[in-house]
Amino acid sequence: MGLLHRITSVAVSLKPYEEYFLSGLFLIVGSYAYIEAQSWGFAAGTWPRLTAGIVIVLSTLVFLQRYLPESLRSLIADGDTMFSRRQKEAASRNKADTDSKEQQRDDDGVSAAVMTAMFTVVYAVAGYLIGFLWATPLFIFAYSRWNEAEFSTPVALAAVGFGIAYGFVGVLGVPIDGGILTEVVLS
Amino acid sequence: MSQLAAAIEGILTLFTWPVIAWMVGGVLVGIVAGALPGIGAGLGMAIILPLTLPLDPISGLVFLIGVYSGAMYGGSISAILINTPGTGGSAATTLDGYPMSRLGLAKNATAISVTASVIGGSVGLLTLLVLLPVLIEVILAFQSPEYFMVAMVGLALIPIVAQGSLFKGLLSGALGLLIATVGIAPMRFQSRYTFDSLALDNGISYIAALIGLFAIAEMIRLSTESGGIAQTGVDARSGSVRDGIKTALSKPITMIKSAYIGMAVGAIPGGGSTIANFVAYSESVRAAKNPDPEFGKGNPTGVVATEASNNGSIGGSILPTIAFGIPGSAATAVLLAGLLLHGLRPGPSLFGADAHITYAMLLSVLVGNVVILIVGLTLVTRASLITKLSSETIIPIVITLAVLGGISFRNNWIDIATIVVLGLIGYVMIRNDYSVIAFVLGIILGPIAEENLIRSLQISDGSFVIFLTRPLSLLLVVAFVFILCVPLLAARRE
Repeated sequence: MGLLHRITSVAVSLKPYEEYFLSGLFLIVGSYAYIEAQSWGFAAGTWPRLTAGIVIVLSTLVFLQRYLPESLRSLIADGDTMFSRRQKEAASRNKADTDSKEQQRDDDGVSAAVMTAMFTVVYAVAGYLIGFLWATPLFIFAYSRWNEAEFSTPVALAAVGFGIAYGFVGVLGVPIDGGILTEVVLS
Repeated sequence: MSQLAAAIEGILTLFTWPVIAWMVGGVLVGIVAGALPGIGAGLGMAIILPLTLPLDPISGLVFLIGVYSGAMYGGSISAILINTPGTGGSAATTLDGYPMSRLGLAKNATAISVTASVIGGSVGLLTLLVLLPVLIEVILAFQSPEYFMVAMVGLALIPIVAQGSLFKGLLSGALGLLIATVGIAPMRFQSRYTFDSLALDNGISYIAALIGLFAIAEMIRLSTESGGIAQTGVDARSGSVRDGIKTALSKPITMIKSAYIGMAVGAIPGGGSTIANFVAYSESVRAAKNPDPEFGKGNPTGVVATEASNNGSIGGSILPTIAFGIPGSAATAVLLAGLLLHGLRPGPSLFGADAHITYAMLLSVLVGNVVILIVGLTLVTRASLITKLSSETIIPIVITLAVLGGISFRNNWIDIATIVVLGLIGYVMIRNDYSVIAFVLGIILGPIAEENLIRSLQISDGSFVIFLTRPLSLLLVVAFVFILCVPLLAARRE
């Protein structure tokens, strides 16, 4: 739980910098793609150079938006588009009723999102190691237990999950009944 | 093949076994997916897409369209009964649908919803079928330069009509286009961004990207929402189905006008049913004189308008998808992926040699409406059970289906990595106002746009002037520049 708390705290503290992180990541990806595409010929390199160039220009604008003139900054940051004002007007008619539904737990929300993301990553890695046929019920059971469901619910959901995974093996013939680890152990 | 012969073959194909069974099954799955908050048409179709691979193309596509059509209606069930729209296309239905339920008129509201959905969807589709012969002439005049420019116009439109900022929307689209360049170049044997990995030679799977961006990102977002999604105390058995049908039928002008609003907005790339139902709702409020009860307090006209428009948008959004490869919504983006998955390229062939497939797909929406009508009027009180599922139950099952669906397509671990990585990035993008739909469209449209750009440039010996010398292409260039300038002009006026 200590590790989880620490990860959540880090995620919450990084929240204000998400915008920089994303646009910075896109800028790095665009720059790498542009440099790499320099060595390719006309037919193979024109399109990647063009798209990478657009990514570099736009991500630089988003990254540096705080330092741009007000008119340009509002254009980059604001969300009002052709129809969004009408949507907001219509939605505001019933705002009092829907406000309570739409409110999100801020820090708790980050914690839930981080945990769901971590469960998903671990599920994918477990599937690679032992096969999704076995990783699926374990993932569903663990996720449901983390959500404080009563013991019977995670067991029932895990059984449903195993049934779904077994369906992929039996009906569709997808080879998910073993992973890298099981191959090593069995061979 | 004449269009009449194609239409007749389309009808005959649709009514053969097992195509008709897949269509009915698709509608039923769609109603359930639509009624589950957080799932909806796009996500439901994304999860199901890889499972259609063993089916023949017509069965697979008819199944996907069934899910799309069913989900558009299904979204209204949870919107009316628990004030939580199952799909974005039913968001405005909550405004008057849920107050009607609280007034003890749940059956009336759901009957209005199913009647308006079926009539709105049918009006949109019939209009499209009537206009199709004329539209086909325009579509057949398109060649490589026009297809490239249409793709550019489509990408430029999305951030303007969808929510989010213009620059971030364009950046999302450009990133999608860039990601689509991974793998072997389309017209040259040149590996691009593969890091010498054979697994990346076939590129990033657009299906894995769809699943990651729609399913995983959406489930992470859903996990942050507070509270359960049911338990509102509304009795789904209160009210009268017959009165609901009568109320809906007494408002034909609202119904037809809303269906056309849905069709028009649905045809705009990035528009889709979410925007359509808010625009139709606003219009019904504007047109009403002395509404009783007031809008927002259980006025049935609000439900008629929103439900006729979201199903009306189906016809509008399908056309640009199959004609130009430009989807009007997340659901049609998945439908486009379905076309490509089954070896069909959007464009002239779907209105020529393969026209019977197009007609079968369009007619399946009409026939699907009959299924919606039967299910909606007979099983609607039981449908409320679907909405009792909690998000904690839905999330692990959807993640499981998404991941297993992803691995089943190519059995390539790169696809699992794509699903997870793009799922995480997609969630952060959603939080920061980036358009995920633009990103997905970039990935799907990238290869089509690149191929047509290179082909156009080869025809013109590398000169970009080719886009200005052809009248249709020039028109699209002007439209592209105009669309990019609209937000700048609007900002200046403000």
